[in-house]
Amino acid sequence: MTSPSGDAAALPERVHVLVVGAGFGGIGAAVRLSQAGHDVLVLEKADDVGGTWRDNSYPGAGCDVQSHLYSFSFAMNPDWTHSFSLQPEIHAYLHDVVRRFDVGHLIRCGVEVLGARWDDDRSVWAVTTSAGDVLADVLVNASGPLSEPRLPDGVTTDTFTGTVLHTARWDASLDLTGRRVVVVGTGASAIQLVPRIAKVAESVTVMQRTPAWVIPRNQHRIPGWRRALYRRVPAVQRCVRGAIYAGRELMVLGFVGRPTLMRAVEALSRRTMGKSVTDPHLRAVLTPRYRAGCKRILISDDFYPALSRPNVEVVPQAVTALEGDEVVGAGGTRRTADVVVFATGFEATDLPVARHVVGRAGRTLADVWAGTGMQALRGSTVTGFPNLFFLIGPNTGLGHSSMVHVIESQLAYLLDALDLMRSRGFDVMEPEQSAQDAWNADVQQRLSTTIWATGGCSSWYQDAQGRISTLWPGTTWRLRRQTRRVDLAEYRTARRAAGMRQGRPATVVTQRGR
Amino acid sequence: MPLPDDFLPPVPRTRLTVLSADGTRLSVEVHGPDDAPTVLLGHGWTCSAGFWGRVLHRLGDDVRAVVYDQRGHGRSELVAPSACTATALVDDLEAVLRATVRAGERAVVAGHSMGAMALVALAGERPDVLHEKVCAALLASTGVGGLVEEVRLMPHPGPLRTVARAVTERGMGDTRLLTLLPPWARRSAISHMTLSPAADRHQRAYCTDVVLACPPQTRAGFARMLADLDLGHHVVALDVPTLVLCGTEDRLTPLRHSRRIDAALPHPVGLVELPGIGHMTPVQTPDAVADAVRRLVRDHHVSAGAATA
Repeated sequence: MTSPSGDAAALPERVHVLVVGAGFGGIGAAVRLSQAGHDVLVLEKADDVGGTWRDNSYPGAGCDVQSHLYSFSFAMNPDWTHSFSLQPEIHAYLHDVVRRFDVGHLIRCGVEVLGARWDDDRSVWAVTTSAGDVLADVLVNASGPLSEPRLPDGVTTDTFTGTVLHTARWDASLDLTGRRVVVVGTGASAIQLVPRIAKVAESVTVMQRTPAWVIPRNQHRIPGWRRALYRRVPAVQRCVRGAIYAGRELMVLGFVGRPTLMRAVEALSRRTMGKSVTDPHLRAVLTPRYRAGCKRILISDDFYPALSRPNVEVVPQAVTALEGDEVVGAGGTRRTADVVVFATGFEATDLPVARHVVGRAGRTLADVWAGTGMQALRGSTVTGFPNLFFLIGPNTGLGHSSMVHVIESQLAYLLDALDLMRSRGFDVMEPEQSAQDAWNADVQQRLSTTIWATGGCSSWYQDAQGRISTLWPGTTWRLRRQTRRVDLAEYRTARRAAGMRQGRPATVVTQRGR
Repeated sequence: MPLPDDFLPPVPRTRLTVLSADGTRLSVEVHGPDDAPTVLLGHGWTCSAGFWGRVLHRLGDDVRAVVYDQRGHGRSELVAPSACTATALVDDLEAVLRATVRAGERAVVAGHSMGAMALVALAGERPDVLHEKVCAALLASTGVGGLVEEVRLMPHPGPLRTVARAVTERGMGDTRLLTLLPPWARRSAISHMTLSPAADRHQRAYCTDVVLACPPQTRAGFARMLADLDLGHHVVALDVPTLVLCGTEDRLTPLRHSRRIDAALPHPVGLVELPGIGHMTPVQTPDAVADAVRRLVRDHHVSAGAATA
């Protein structure tokens, strides 16, 4: 696929809004911000757009949210071929959005952001990139929480003679036919990958620390007449999308409201397993011992049947080392492997980008968050980091619905902030510590009774201290309401010094209220 | 109703695939440390390697336990009913012994039901393999012939005897009959056949699941083989120290089978009668089975370095 902007044109010296990352968030930002007349530039370190949907190209990669819902509201796609899209189709959709809204020239691929420092004197973000420096009035982090592959701690791999790879860094030239493959992990990536490779590999050993609750995906083709109908009468697709949205929103009741409702999910999962896993020993290994929903609920029609194949084995142990041609499990088990695939997810609570963003006080975001865990106001802005906005920031993740919905909510917030800057004539905005603390206290309080906190598991939703810094404890419309407008009472705003002369502090004009 | 942890077999340390004489792929698990005495465990009809789980937990790291899935069972390759023969089981056992028992070592072999029959058949058909690879035997809950005649699944007085026999034979050897029953009836039938009234609900649920997990074609194929099996004349060939173990309430292979075998053995070292226990001794009395294995290892194991007798 061609990248939207392959030219190696020099970066501008200065932009109004600089967006890091050209996945769903970055592309959405390019579209919505340019439509609103803002000067925006998106930098993407890879040589193609797509983010998660570019990186996760392992066999079987797909989305757990129905196609009709997992797309921008402003760029519906009547042509989805399956109820749940696979990665190539979503990636193509993102390319299509870039084309349809003609934002390719706003996206610069192959440019990596190396660091960003808030210049308090000039009130700008001084951004260092692999293609030179650029100044930005507003910095938007759209690099996503699921972008940096995570490997299990303490696994030594130096003496391993086979091939090692991570699902998010798949090698399309790798042929697994007749190979002995060990897959580490039983999360959302593994359950999509295993059924595909089990058909061709000599053997597949799945290393499982904790089993997942798996419910049917009910994947089906969308027939041509339905696609034609959606094309002609977009309102029909909007209705379908609305119905899917509403149905998924009901699940919040179980996650947040009454975790005991999740017993219904468990019963469904047990029935699903019972149909395809006859071996009682395997069933016991695969049955979770925590309340469904505590870890991500997985959907699949072919995972359990794949695990029942005679060439597939589930080893309920963590991996401790790769030695020679063997994978060593925590209990001392050894399995021969030609290829080891880490389907171990991402650094969701320890964002690499945080180490490279330096705020007003000269501290990195990682330093600031080291003691407190990831914290932001409304998942978007952080005290000490003026004019920095997140797309999918802290506590905006979902266990039940489309992240594209969240991205659009946060884009609305960003747009409102930019509009306010323009209309009210201020250049700098930074959340008050008290507002940020109050918002986080409320979120944490609401999280404390959710399934994620009470379900009896540990998950990637939690950081090293066990604090849930990734998830939004509520409905998506509640988040949308909270991010519809910027409440300036929560911010300190300021005007930039005239001429942005170096060495002179910004004139501080604090505005309160709207 | 989650099963207690010890029903879940330990994770095999290593796993290998062994090819039998006719090319059938057999799934073999190795448990325990490499330098410990080898014990080979052969499961019975409609079971699988995991069936030894409770016994394996009790043997722990004291032995190097080799467990395999009989052909058509568990993870081993499915075979046509015509390949479900006693000689095929002997081929499989020989292949696994040769692949897993180190040169010079002689292993303790424990068989349950059909797994024990395979060992008796091996003694009769391949005495050289027996003498090279096996130091002692445990025959648990088994018989060597007249299996259908003596099965006690239902009371069959006088005139009903023929009918009862026909039903028993049909029920075991038919691929569909069991699945035609409603689940509760299916489960209680299996529970009734395999366990004694003393079994607890976990043992019942577990044994029923294990049996139902067996592919119907395998169940039917070996049922026909078992109905015609006669290994009585091979017992005298099993001339290694042999311990016989059986539950007194075994309906499938009643105690009298074990008593007859024990009387005919050239080198008997004991008959363990387990009061109130049914056919699935490794599940119902794993301690007794593990103790029997340990006793044979302690008294008779021949390690690789030792001079062979």
